[in-house]
Amino acid sequence: MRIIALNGALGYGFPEDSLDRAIAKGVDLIGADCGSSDPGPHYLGSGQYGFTYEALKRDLDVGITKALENKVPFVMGSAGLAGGKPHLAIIRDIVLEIAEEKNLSFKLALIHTELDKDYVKAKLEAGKVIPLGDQIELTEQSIEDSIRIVGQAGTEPFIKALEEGAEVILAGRACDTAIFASLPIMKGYPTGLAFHMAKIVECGALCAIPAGLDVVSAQLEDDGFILEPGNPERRCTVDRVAAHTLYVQSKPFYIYEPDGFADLTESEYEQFDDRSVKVTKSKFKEADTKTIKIEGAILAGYRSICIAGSNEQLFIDSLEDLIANTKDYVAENLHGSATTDDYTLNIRVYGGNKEEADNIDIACAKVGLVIDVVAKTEAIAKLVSSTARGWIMHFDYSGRKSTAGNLAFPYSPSEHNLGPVYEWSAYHLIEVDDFAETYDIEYRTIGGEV
Amino acid sequence: MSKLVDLCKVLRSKNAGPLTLTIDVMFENKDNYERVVNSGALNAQTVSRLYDVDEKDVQIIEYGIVDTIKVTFPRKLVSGSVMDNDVYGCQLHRPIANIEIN
Repeated sequence: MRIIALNGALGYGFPEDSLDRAIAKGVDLIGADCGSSDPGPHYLGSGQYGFTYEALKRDLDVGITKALENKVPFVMGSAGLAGGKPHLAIIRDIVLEIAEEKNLSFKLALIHTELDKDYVKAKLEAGKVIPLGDQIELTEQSIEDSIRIVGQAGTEPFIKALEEGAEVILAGRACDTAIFASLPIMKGYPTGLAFHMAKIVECGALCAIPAGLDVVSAQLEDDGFILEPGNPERRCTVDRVAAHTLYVQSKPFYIYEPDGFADLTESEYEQFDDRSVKVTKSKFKEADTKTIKIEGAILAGYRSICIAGSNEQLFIDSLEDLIANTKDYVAENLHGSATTDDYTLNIRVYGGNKEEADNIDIACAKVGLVIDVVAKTEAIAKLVSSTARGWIMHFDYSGRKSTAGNLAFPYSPSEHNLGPVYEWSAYHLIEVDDFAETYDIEYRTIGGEV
Repeated sequence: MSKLVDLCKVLRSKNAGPLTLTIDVMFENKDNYERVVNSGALNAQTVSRLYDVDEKDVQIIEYGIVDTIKVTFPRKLVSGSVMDNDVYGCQLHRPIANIEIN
């Protein structure tokens, strides 16, 4: 069996020639990961999707067309970066548009993984929520206040959809690995090897030299899998593949999955040929308890920022005091329109730091400031940032000669409202009795002749 | 004495989920890898001090197969929270760069 991954993230693009070369050696599934929590909570909170419509459409078009041509499933997970309802809806619409334009016919499966708040509350009540750190406390209130909560689906719904004959599978938030491991596991391939393979290919050709956003394939053998980049200019090496296994993982030897973990402590890597690496001996240990990782986002306020710079060393020298007295000045000059509980004022200083001064030529010292306010309303955010901006602009620091103003603004207007700001409200595990509690699969027949 | 950053070929940090930071210190060869491991200088206590996190929460994992040491600990500010400076966590490697190695 051969699994092909388009690239590290759907929407980044990839050379079509790489895909053609990979397919020429055989293909049983084309997959793409579309999501990540790395870009922060904004997407889950706002419902906006990552990348652009055009970029997603281009990648989906090529991937789906080639999969259908070769009569193999196209599987995508974590729609629109965050994998909530609006994110899956936009990806579905893009795919429907492609199908109509190209007159494609296929059975579509949509795996919905946004969770009902009452379901999460019941898990909390039953003591079935496991924190993954002590930074975020999940409470009934924080669940209620969350804009949406998604669960990272494991292999189960993908396997169900494949068994039902779905030819295009689009999922909301899902484990990166489930996209690529589901078909091999369904066909009886060893689970540990399937997950290890999936963990590497979900990043596309990042496991190759030169690393890149490009196609990678995995040939599954009885005793291991062989990784090969689609692009002839790239090659997989033992070092690169073994090193990639630890990328963005908290521990290098284990890959945690909803139903257990892949144990890589005994995995072996060998240079199979010049451009490919064979991995063997990855194991899987089933967990006693099934878990699903959940992610939630909550509104933190509205942001207004002002970006500015200074060229005056004396100003830079006085920054520490200035920042402290700016906060006091702002607090005292809101004239009843807001209190300090209504906002957070954070003056971010870029460069000019005395501790880093050995790296800075004092003669051309420059410092950048971001006056960053998050407040409970947009009006308060703008009021606080403009008050702070005015104070810093005209502050009469010791020895000041540039008395016309302290700040160089690159933009007019100098304040910018960035709109709503979200924070993570959940990043926890929930114990589940049956994975089916955490997803719904919707099937659609697209086009005329299926 | 050498600085850690001068002995390694890769020194990178990144989120492992929004609550966790993981730093990979990768070496060109076994000699430098073993020198750093044996020096004991890259330890939980030092990381705890440099990043202001609890020592018990710091994991230092030796991954000899690719001459890499992995340092993992909870992010002090959750990725994307209002006061956070680095959403992806990819510029949080510097504090350990200057650790002195015997």
